[in-house]
Amino acid sequence: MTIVGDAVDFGESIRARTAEPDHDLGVSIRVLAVWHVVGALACAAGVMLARRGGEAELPWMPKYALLGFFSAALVANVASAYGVSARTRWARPTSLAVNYLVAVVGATTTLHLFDAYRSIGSLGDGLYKAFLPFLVVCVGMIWVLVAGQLLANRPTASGPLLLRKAGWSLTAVAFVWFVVAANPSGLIDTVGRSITRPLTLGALALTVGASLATRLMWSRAAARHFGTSRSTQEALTGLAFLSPNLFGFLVFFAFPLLFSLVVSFFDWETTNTSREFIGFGNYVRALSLDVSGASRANAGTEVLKPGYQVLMNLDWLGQHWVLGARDVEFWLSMRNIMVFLVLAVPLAVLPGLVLSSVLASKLPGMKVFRAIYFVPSVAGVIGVSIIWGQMFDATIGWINYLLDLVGLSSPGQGHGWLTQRSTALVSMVVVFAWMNFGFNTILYLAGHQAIPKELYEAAEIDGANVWQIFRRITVPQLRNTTFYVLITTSIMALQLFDIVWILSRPAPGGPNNATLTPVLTLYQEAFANNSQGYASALAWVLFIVIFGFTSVQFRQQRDQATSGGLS
Amino acid sequence: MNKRKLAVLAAVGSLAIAACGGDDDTAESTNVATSGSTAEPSAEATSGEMSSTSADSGAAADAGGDVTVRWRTRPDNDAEAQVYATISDEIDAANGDAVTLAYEPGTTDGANYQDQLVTEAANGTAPDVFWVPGSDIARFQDAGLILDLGPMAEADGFDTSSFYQETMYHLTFDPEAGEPGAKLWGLPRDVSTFALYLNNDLIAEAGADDPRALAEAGEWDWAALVDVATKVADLGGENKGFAMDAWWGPQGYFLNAAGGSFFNADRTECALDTPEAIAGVEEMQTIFSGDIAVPYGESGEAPWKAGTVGMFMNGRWATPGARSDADFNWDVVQLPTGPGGTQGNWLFWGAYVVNAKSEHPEAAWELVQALTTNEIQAEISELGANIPSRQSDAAIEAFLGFNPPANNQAFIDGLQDSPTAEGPLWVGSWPEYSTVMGDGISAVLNGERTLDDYAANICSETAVAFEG
Repeated sequence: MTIVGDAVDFGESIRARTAEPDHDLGVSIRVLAVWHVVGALACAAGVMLARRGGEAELPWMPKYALLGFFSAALVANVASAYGVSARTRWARPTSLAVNYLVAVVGATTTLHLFDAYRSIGSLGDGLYKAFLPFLVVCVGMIWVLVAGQLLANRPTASGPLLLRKAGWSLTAVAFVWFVVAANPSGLIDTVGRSITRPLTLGALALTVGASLATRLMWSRAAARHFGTSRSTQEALTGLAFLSPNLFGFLVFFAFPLLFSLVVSFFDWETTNTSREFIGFGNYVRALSLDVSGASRANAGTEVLKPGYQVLMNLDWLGQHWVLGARDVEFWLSMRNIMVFLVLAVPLAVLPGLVLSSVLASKLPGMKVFRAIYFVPSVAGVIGVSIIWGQMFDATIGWINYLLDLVGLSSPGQGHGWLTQRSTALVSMVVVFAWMNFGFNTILYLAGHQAIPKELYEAAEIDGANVWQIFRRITVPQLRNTTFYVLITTSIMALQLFDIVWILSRPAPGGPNNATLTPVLTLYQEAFANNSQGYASALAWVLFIVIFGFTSVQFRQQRDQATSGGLS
Repeated sequence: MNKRKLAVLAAVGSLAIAACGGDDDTAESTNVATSGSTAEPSAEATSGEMSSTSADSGAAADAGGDVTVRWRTRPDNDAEAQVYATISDEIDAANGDAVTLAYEPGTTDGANYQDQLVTEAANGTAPDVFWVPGSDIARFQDAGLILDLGPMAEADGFDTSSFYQETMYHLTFDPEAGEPGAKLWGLPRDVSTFALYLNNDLIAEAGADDPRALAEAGEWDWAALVDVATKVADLGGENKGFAMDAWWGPQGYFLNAAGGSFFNADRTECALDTPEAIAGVEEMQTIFSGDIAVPYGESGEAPWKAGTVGMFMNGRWATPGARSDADFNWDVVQLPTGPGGTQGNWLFWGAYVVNAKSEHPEAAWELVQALTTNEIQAEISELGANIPSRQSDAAIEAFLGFNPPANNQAFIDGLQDSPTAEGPLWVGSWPEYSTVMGDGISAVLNGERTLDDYAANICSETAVAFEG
């Protein structure tokens, strides 16, 4: 391989590339160019169809989404067709990207048309019926593979040869058994039905064509033909390895995220197809407040603007005030989550910090305790919440029972931890802290490993006591860990949902909205009230709150670091 | 092809065969059908067969049986889900193979079942036939998620007279006309009423009168309820006399029995502030502030099953759980008569409806009919979880014969004492109304709000449910 500048030609120089066309690829390249021309024409047809909407006018959003998609594909195909014909250097990556994407989309569509995704649900049933022969097939294949490995070292050995034959025989017999037991009539029916549909055939042809084109353009011959540089080749290889994760990120994270932003500007209801653009209307609805003076305490909505509900009554500066909101529940949820944050984060972090100092010691049995304290973090939140719900039960719960035992309560007079507004949110705090402090402890333990032992030795020589060592050495040295723990725990606290969903009584968010959280509010808006647009707006408001909170913490951390506070 | 590739190919092929081979005889998806002769009009249908009067199912049969009708209910427990799966199989078995029924047990988790359905229905992925509680019929209808079966029922000459008419009032309600009309939103799956589940051992130990004897003697009223509950609570320890769960059903009993109601007569305005309705809340306040009941908001079922509660109010759906978990002498008794002069019981119901986006509406309609025949209802009644929605002697007999509880008649008595039908809110939002109402009552019963404040403001608070 020779290297000319930044170009790697896998044996040929760029000059050779221009002077001597790769005749082996000549026909394939011409076919590929035609393939892209056909693709461009198909995309042009797609653009026309999207503009006209076919038989029925499309709603504007899918219409413009399709227009954007087909237009981009049209441009990419035209560019690829030109680039491939003209042997430009950028033609290979462009064509590769187009064909790879088309192959993935085509394969996905083909599987859908074959009903493959719904069949996944039947996989368990099918395997259950024919599990034994399936197991035997697997055993047979393992024998074959093992024999292959043995033969690689000793090609003439008789034992591995025999094992391979036995493996193939076993596999063949078991496979027939498996086919009979599994009864693939469903598969045959499905394939038979689907394969005759033009749409399926089209998707299949598209997948095969794009796959072949991808393979062609990925080949070394194509790399030579188009003079792909080393850096470009490395980038393509990297992107290829990244692509599965990238697809997952784009399809299941980035797209929904951006889509929810779009939806938040619409009066978008699950059951209503006429989705009206209302700009910041949803945000205004969520954030609108009204303050009015009142002539009496506990005044009602009559002193507020129309559409506002009473959020709270205040007596301030010798005047009665009524604070109202258009969405009272949202503001209550924000108040609740701030209280929760203030209580839960210290309870989830400080015990972890203290405990990690104990667990970091060399005392016997510490490994066992590390595991024990970590258990709540790996336990399922639903199961844990249900158990805590039973423990908090007013009549048959363990907490009241224990309080009875120590004389802090009377039998049958137990406190309703989850049903009284005064303690419902605090109960959630306890469960949250219990579930998270173990994980935080492990993070702090990791931080402990990075503290130089010399610091402790020097402190001991200087006569520092345990508290001074903890205060002056451990805590400052763990500042980075503390920052990370605080950030992650705070974000989890602000996104509280599952514990409240299971634990609150008599319904999620109860009693009387005492445990209502922003995520619960937006869930209820989205799925109980079907207001997807408003729920999306609430989600973005929450995002801004979390982002702002995190930014402030980052800023503080940076300020401390630059002022020399960070060791 | 090298061996590794061959091995991978074989494995993938095997999995594909397994995946597609599993469809044929699973419990939830069986070949069933609408084929066969055009039998009797559906009105007379009493078996589980689906008649084949529908055009599309017939066409499907001609085309080789390519129609799958998915259906879903909200069972209260696994046992009930299994019964519905069995029924699905039976309806299938009673018919040909032109249509495939696929039964999907829904979640047992209350409102989430409906929320999930709404989302699915709006996105076109909901089953063809599904069950919704009576209180949610208007919500689904208003959103255009369910099909008006009226034209098909009329074409079939379908007769609804054997169903409880309180349920049919709402199922034929025409929102535009504001009264029942030619609409048909579905057929009721079953009905239920409240009763008090008794811990006879605890009541006897407390020396209280047997509520069943009091009911027999016509002396079972609120005063008697409080008396029995007080005596049981006086046993001390964890024992409580009474328990109920915190939702609109038990709350509504007290309002109804006091002569009040959630709404005015035509269900267009709040009636929670009438003296009768306030009397109902006041009675609850008396019970829950007197340490004779499990604190309001706490689960009542668990302590009752644990044997520490004398009386627990719940519907028929709690019976299977009581049978499996209660290891003491238990029975049921009708609800005590309130100041209004009746039990004030509810007639709970839910209906099978057809998805408005169903590709096979007529096959779905036939399935709805098949699921509500006398035979099928009697079969479900034998499980003991529900009362048939058709007023059939045979089905009632099957229901009464399911013991324990010995006093099944208590549920039937509830049906015959002017129950209030669980009803949707055709003008306004029932979920919103019930949430605000529940919060208000909860605050009063937990001592966080005065009854006077509740009475003065509750209707203005619930007004939001009637807006927009």
